[in-house]
Amino acid sequence: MRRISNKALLIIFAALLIASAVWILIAGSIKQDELLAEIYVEGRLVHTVDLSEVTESYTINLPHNTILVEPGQISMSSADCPDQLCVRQGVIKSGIYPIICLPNKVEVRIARESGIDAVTGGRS
Amino acid sequence: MSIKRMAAIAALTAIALTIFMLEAQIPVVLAVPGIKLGLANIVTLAAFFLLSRRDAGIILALRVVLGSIFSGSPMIFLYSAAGGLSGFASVCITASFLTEKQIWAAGIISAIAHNAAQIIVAVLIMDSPALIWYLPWLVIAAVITGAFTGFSAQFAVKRLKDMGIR
Repeated sequence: MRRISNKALLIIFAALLIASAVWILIAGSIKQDELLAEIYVEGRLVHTVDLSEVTESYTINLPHNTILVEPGQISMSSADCPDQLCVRQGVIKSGIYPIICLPNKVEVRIARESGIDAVTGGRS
Repeated sequence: MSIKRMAAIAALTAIALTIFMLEAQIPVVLAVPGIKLGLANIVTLAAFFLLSRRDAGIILALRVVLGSIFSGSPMIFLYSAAGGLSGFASVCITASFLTEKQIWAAGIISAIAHNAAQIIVAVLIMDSPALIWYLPWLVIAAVITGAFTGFSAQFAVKRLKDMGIR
């Protein structure tokens, strides 16, 4: 059986690293036009918040998570899962990365386009 | 199945499971979902090159099932099984091109396959295509963590063979 040289392996892995870095740079530069945050629980859209219209901070309580809505940004302020990854992801503003809580199936993302029938409200 | 082989599989499964459970207690360092060292993969890799493809598969399957039961989360099983299966398949495909001094590369390849499979499962479960943006982060993490686990397995295999244990 043909063997692969270490050099070839290193080139392949280096290429993968460079491609990933470029992808990350591209992802970081993508900004959404609208500041429409969507909150999904178990795949269902439960809240839509227009972050540009938020003047005072408030929280949205979900069964396992608390979401902090602030002017222009949104974050997960607490979750009952052990890893707390979603909380440590911090605030999102206009970027492409969603906040996700895998154990509780909660996702907060900035919508790609406006015009979705907004299910606002439900402050608690 | 010989008693020696059964004992080897049992011992390695116990080691893998212990490492898996211990690692689950270590807090995650980075706020990117899915990044961890994957230390239990050292055992799978070592078994693959030390024993056989089949034995490594058995050890991996036992660890994934028992690990999910012990950690008490059915979700962990889905991610763990998808990652484990994909990582194992990738090593099966590439192992014939690699020597015993290139187990580090098998570690990287299986870590990348593992992470890619988990992201795909997450996209399907969460119904969120945007999660794919985390893939490059996970590829970079996989190259680093995979090299670490791969080298660990490589040194373990070399030591055990030098000692005459197979």
